[in-house]
Amino acid sequence: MVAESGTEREELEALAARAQAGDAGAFDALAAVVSGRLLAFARGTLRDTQLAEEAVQEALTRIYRFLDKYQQGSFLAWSMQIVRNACMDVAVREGKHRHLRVVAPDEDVADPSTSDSAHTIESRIRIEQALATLTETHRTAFLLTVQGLRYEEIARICGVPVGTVRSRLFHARVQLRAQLNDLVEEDR
Amino acid sequence: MSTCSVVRGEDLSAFVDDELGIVEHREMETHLATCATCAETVRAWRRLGTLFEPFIDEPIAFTPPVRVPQYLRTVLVASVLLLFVIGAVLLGSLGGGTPGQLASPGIPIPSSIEPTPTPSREPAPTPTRTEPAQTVPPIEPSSDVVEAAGSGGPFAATFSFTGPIEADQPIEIEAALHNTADEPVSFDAPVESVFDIVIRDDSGAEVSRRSVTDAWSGDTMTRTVRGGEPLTETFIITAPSVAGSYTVSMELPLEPPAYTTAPSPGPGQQVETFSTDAVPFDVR
Repeated sequence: MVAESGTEREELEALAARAQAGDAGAFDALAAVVSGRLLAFARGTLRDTQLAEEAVQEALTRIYRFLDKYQQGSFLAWSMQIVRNACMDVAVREGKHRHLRVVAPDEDVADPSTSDSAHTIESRIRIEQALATLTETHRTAFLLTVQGLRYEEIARICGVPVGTVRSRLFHARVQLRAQLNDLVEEDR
Repeated sequence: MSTCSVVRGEDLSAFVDDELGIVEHREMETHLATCATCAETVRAWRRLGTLFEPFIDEPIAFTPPVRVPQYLRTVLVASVLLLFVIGAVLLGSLGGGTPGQLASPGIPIPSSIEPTPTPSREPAPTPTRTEPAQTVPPIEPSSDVVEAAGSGGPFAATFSFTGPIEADQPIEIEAALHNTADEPVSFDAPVESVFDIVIRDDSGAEVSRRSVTDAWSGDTMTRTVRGGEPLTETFIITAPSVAGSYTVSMELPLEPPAYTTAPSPGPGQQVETFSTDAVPFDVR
């Protein structure tokens, strides 16, 4: 799991404080650190790279505009809340609300020009397919914990009790493992 | 099986995420030392997590929008208005009309560029504005809870806003669904999406709709609302980008069989949507 370490959190908080004080370079650094995580979450949620990038751009714009509203805590969790809302806005706009269409893994994943090996590309497509089979609620919880958010933060973002987050993550893991067991066992 | 009969899977999953308390964490470690099934599951779930590591290293370029300081915006707006006024005055002079009147009498002057009227002893007429019919008081920033009656089900709602309601600013709305029936009421709703919060402008057009949901999958679950135990959700939404008068209301899309009164669920009363009265509020 890609946990956001304590040091990373402290660095993000420090950058956020500097950006709030008007340090443009700090905001650039902040965006560079979180944008990849936001995009990963948005891609997993929307399952469409172009829409995900739109959502992240919108989220970064909102983060920039409302940065002075941020109160020190978890900048990443705050950012994830914003990108989740942006994803919902995009989903509503695209008519995906409650009927999110199932799409094939993004084409760029299979782009042979990337440095990934064919084996890695195939694995990644399978991972995205497995992720796509989860219910939206389970996928959101899993994607947020992949980004290193704590249960309490995920619960706040999703508006559910912590116990519900625990349950969702357990079921997500069981389902993902069942589908990806050969990859899980690969390096034994 | 993911776990043995001793340990709950959710606890094992929380252990992987380092989300157990200190005591529970130690107990789990002790258990794992002797339980091959659970130890294997922990190893597999951790490995599963590493499969998703490539999902985070994709930073994208972002150029912050140019931020115009408030005083500059004020100066710019004032300059544009001044130019309009000067232009209108010049046009009026060239056309032989009185200042403030365009040469062509058929073209009305937007009120925003009308020159300031000469002070008069008579009181200025109070501008009239068509307000939507409301039965509830308007929301004031950081107000107390505002109640809104509804139709379509045995429910009512309360709203409370946190913080000033300014254009394009995030606002927090705590909304609660209350049961007005004598008996507990159950209904099916999408997972996490108990109800929607809908904002409309003063013409009634929907500006935004927000659910506390990511339940796009269509999963539903049965909710029960008892008297005195409202279902409460907190919504963080972005206020409309244009200052003006708006309304907020709650809508509860109900899937057949709609809602039933517990404890004797039956066919229930068939309704499609419960919605509250619209509560007015202003965006500055």
